[in-house]
Amino acid sequence: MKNWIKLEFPGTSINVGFARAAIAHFAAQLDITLDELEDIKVAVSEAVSNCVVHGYREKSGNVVIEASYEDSRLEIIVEDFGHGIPDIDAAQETGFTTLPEERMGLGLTFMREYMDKLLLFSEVEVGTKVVMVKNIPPRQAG
Amino acid sequence: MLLAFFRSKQVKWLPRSKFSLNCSKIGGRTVRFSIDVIGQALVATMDGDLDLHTCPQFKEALTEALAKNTQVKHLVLDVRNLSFIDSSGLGVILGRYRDVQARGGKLIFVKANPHIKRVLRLSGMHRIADFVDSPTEALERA
Ligand SMILES: Nc1ncnc2c1ncn2[C@@H]1O[C@H](COP(=O)(O)OP(=O)(O)OP(=O)(O)O)[C@@H](O)[C@H]1O
Ligand SMILES: [Mg+2]
Repeated sequence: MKNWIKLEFPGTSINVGFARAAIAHFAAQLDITLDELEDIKVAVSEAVSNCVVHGYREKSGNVVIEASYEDSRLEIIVEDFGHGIPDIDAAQETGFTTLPEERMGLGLTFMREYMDKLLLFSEVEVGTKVVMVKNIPPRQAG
Repeated sequence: MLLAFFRSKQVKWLPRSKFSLNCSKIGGRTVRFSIDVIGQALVATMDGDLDLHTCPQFKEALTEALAKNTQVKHLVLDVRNLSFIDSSGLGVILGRYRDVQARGGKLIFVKANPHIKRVLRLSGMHRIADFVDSPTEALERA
């Protein structure tokens, strides 16, 4: 079984809740547990929040989400065209944040924890792309 | 008895927005909360999704209540109806924890569900907070 969707919306905070609900609905086409759906909601919420808070800190632009699955492999790509990340390795350390006054530096750690695979691509003043994969093993009948 | 106490204290609910009515079943909801002062404890009862978009109003209300009620030492968060939280919400809670910690107080969660507990554990917050099953128990600990 194979399917995909693509969403594009302005990178504003009001769309964070919409994005996680929309992707959860798409993922629910799979034979998925409520726990797995919760994991996906957290990961999408973190990725889109980062686009809004960091990517579009001093500019505005759109967020693009592509979600697809083939059999039991669900892939979610969240992309912005904002400021980008100067040091990708540092950004991925738990607790690292460029906004220490208000944030905890946990978003990328949550994405990694709640999904099976996380890839981060970024170029300064070009944008940032997060690729997340989750395997949704079919549940045993009965 | 406690319920009667809560009622007598005139709990203020934020107006329920249209968004919350429309989306309450599918996620991507707003957050609603009541804040009450009981002795030395600030008790916040939360409902809905706490994320990037909804956390500023929660932060503002808690900050204001803490500033107004200088006798308050403890922060009690009743999260039984909190359906979603991510790092943005955790950031707000941690910030307010620092405020009550400076007053020698505690952070107490009432009825955190397994999803919320997992997020709190990942953030390390389980080490600084208490977890209880009822507001009465929270007030006993406070
Ligand atoms: N889309 C993005 N665009 C630009 N910078 C980003 C983006 N995503 C992450 N970053 C950078 O990586 C850092 C770490 O991100 P992470 O989500 O782990 O923490 P945070 O967003 O700072 O805090 P939290 O997620 O706990 O609110 C950010 O502080 C920011 O500097
Ligand atoms: Mg983040």
